[in-house]
Amino acid sequence: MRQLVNALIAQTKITILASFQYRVQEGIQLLGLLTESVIYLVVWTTIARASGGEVGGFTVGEFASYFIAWTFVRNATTGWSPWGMEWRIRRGEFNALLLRPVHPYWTDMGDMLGGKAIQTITLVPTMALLVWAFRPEFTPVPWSLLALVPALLLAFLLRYTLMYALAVTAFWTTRVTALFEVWYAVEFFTSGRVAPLSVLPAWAQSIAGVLPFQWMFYFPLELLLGRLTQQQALQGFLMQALWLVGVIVLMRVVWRAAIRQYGAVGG
Amino acid sequence: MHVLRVGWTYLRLSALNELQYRANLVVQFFTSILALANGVAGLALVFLHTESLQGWGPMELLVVVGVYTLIGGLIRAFIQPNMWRIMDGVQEGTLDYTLTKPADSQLLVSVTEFQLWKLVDVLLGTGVLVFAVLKLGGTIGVAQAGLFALVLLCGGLILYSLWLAVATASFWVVRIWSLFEMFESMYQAGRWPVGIYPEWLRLALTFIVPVAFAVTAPAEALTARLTPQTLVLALAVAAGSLTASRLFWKVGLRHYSGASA
Repeated sequence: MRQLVNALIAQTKITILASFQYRVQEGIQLLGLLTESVIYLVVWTTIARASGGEVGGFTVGEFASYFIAWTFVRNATTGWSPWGMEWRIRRGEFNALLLRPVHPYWTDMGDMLGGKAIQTITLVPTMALLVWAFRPEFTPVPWSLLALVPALLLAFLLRYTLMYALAVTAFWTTRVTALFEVWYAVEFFTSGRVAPLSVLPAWAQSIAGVLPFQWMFYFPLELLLGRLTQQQALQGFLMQALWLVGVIVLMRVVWRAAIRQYGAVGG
Repeated sequence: MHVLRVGWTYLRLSALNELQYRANLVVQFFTSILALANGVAGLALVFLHTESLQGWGPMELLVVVGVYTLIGGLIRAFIQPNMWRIMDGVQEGTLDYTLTKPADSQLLVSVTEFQLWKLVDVLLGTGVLVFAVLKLGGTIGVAQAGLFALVLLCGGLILYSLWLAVATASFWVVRIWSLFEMFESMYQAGRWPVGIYPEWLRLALTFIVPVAFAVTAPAEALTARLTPQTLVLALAVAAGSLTASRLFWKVGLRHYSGASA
């Protein structure tokens, strides 16, 4: 365990140091994140204004705060891209990683965390700019902000592990792209990414209820905004924990099968 | 004439090459339809709560989605692969082979590659456009269709010039990928008419990443919204950016010393 933690911290540091060399790259990633959130923000505030100032329990100012907070939660919960994994497997880069005594799951996680730490440094001032441009309504709720820390961590672990498990399927087939596109499309609507879940039609909300995606995004986002009661927050943590157990089991099963399957490129 | 012949030959060669990989067509169809479905579902969600978005009704916004898909397909089929090739060429030295050929260098680098299957997006986009226009009560006269084609052409030329300028920049700065990524992420904004964005963003989407000319203006032409000012501006910007990017390419070439030097 201690070894794992050390490896994790070491990789986090490496990524932080390395990414100082690629500041432009970081900036561009940030710009992509901002563009997406500003598009939704503008669309939904326009709708709210046109329909008497409120849609699905969100006022104009609350939509603004939703999509500004969105950038923060999105940055914290992006996971390892399946395309990246496929690329590594195809190029045979995975061989070296498998020879290391530490599971690549951990070093990749360190890599992600380092990247997020860097991104946050540039993200926070840009969020301030968004606040200035769009005048959100936001009253901080102290206990809720405190609860955000574990919720964000669980959300990250959940999404990261699930994506890792899916990415590992690239060991069998290099045509997994189509599968991921379906997954992204579903996640898009049922995680709260394109709009708060409360503006979805009832049937879509019930679909979202049985899928794990809202626990990876919408739940921490609502905590940040202070829109949940303490009981709802507790239920949310329970759901996160349950899904996490399920996802870890899935990851282990898939990984074991994948390793047996793996024929290294060039081997 | 010669220009057209060279272009056509390269186009045919690339198409023949792509025709070998038929399975890719299926994958492309799948991804394109999914992306389109995503866009349409987003629209449906919006119109669950409102009748019009800044004066644009559901079918009119579907026109915007249609143009967005169509233009996106054109970029990915014709422009993007060639511009990536320029950058790779500068990095790996293969551009020198192209430059030594006797035809105009800008022409050659712009037509070498063509991704046939990306035309699926063009097909789908056109289908959506036809559907939306018919639903709107479909009386598009020849004049209006011509106007649409003209504005679309302007938009395409402006985008081409911008991409070429970015690719030309790789003569000075080799690692330029980020700029393309930036362009792609900003292009998403074109899913909606630029009029809904706040002033500062609208200016950026008109003159930095010309989404306004490429997507919104053609959609305006089809929904009888296009003002004479926008038309004149689109024509002027198209002519201006085409000339500017041509000059920039020449300057870049003069600066370029080749891989072996």
